[in-house]
Amino acid sequence: MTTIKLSFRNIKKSFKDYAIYFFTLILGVAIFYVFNSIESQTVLLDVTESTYEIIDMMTTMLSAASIFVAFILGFLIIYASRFLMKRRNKEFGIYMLLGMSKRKISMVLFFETILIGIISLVVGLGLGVLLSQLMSMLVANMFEADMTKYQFIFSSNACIKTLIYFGIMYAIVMLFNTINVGKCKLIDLIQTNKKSETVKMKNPMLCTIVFIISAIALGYAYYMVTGGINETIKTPEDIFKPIVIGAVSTFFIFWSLSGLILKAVMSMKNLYVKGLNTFTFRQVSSKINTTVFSMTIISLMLFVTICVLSSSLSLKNSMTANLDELAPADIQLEKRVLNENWLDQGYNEEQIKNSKEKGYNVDVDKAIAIGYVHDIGKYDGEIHGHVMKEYNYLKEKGYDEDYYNICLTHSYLNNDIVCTAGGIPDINENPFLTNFIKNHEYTIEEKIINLCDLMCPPGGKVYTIDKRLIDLIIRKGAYTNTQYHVKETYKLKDYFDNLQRLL
Amino acid sequence: MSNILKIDKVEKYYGSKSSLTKALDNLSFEVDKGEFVAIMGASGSGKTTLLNCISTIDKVTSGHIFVGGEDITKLRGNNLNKFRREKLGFIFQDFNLLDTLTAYENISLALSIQNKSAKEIEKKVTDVATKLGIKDVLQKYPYQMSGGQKQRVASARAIITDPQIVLADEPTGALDSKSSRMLLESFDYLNEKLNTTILMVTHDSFCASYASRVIFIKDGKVFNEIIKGNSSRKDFFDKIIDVVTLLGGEENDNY
Ligand SMILES: Nc1ncnc2c1ncn2[C@@H]1O[C@H](COP(=O)(O)OP(=O)(O)OP(=O)(O)O)[C@@H](O)[C@H]1O
Ligand SMILES: [Mg+2]
Repeated sequence: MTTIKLSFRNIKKSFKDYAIYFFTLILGVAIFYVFNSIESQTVLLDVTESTYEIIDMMTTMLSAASIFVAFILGFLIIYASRFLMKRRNKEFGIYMLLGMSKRKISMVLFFETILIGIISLVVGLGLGVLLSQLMSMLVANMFEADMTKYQFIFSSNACIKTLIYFGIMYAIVMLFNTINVGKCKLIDLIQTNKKSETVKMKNPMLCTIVFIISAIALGYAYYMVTGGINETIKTPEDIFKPIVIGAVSTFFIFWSLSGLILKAVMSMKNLYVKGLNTFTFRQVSSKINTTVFSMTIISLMLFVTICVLSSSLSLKNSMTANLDELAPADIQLEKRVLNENWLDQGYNEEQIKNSKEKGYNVDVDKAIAIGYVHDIGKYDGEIHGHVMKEYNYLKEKGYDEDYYNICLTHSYLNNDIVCTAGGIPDINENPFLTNFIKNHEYTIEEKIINLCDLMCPPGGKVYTIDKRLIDLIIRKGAYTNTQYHVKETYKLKDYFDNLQRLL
Repeated sequence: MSNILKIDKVEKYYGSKSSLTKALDNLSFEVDKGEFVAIMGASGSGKTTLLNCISTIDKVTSGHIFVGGEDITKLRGNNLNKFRREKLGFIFQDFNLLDTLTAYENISLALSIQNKSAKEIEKKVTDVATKLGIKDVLQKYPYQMSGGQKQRVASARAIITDPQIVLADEPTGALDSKSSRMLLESFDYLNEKLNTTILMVTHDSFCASYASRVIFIKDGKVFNEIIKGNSSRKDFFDKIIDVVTLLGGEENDNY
């Protein structure tokens, strides 16, 4: 009978007795992994920038929640290991009486903790990896992401984080155990076992009242994160209120429930077996206690998960609503102003891609490319006549006209050179330009860039059409063709709005 | 050295100054090698306390206890573990076997703590199990055994290390009379054939009659002592009953 074999036996026995405790540990590890792996699960999802921001926020909330989960789990592990130690006084007494050194007893416990740790981590991580796949499908579904790109993901980051966190926790347990073994005296080990421990009974009246109050509170907390979510959760911080209410009421529900169950068990026992054996009663009570404790923690973990998921969904909804209000158009391109080279101003590739997803049949690469080059001549400020300058520049470089035509077309909304912002052009000043515009057939990519240009002021912001038009008037003034330009701008917007409605 | 155990003016006090209990009050006696001594006395007379002090479960307040010439009240740390490991066997009323281990493993635990080889362990366990008639239950777990079987397994574990002295605190306390008798036969066998020194605490005069000497304790002091000598067990039993009656009819408590 080696030390390790002894540990194995003890674990086997405790598996039978404390299945629920092990289940909690495993579930805890799994949830910890899932919460922390969401980031790598979702990073591959094909979603828009704004959705990504919400997911990002959710990820942050989840890792905060995982710390919470970790705390209550740490509490469970330390409580349970102390509790299990107490129940094993007899065993340690026998070891010591047979002359086993305290060091060796600590070793037995050490191996046990390692075994529990390995088992719970391996099983928990396995379960976690599976659950996280479900989770990412759920998140993908929630944010309407493209599921065809779904793939099986293992997050080594989350895995390492879980291992480190639980490693630390089990190390603390080992430390606790060693200290406990070092402190214990043989006489106490043997006498506590003989002492008939009295089981503390809770007042059933109090239990009932506490139970009812916490049930109502918990019901309210669940309502807050499910049915009533849209009223309660508006900012990420709002999530803490239901979590705190939920956690406290869950704890009290189980606290009062354990008291009531114990009371019920006792009155039943009294009915059938007169002169109840205190030992079995103690066993019943300790079983109820561990079960209740584990159940509390499982419920808490599930509650936190529900909170985070539903509130991120709610946040997503309210954010989308905000976005619709702020940016009624479907395509948003962002002007990026860098400082160094000819590619000063450009459009956000992500958002152009998105326009393709919506079905406009846009050549995304082309749109992005012309987005980048349309103002290529503006490298050192607002230069009058930059359109011709950049047109010639690109032409000289030998690019395709599909790409450099944008330099001319992006200032004019239709085949009329008068339809432009910031002044009335002289149709005779540049006959080439006037003619070019007159005969040009606008491609959809060019139309998109025009619309984008009419939403993006310099400086990387995105405006609504209305705001941007006012911005133009403020900056460049109103002319006799301004009304014309504004009308044509709305036509362009309607064109895309209708396109979308047709889809 | 003929005396294997020497109790020398041992005192054990419990509680504080205001409510002091003298569980053992200047107690002295000796036990020779190969003796089977029973300790009797009323409830609260200090029997368990005495056994706890001898087995190093508890510490004496003053006085000395010598086992094989060694003062065990001075033992600390590894020497204490070594003493428990090699010189002592212990059997309780209930509180003996580990539920997670089979009878075989429970018995062998005592030896494997001494780092004995698996081969030697197997030989010894089989040997002692045969002698105590528990060979059939070796692969069973405690919950699969009867109370009597469990106590014999506990006895096997107590003697397997060839200790200098086996201490037993009411070993028959939880057994019916038939199982008690079988356990006592085993003790008798260990004492007669293997020359094991046994110190047994008991309430029961019948159990005590298996011993070669009975020491009566009252209020932490030796009250009386009777020796079986060459008398028959029946005669010895009658003598014990007489003293017990003198002490105050303790026996009625138990049967
Ligand atoms: N841990 C303790 N603290 C205080 N007093 C104690 C303690 N253990 C025993 N005593 C007291 O010491 C005295 C002797 O107790 P002990 O257990 O040795 O009696 P005993 O002879 O074994 O009795 P029984 O036959 O009932 O087992 C008793 O008066 C008891 O109350
Ligand atoms: Mg006693």
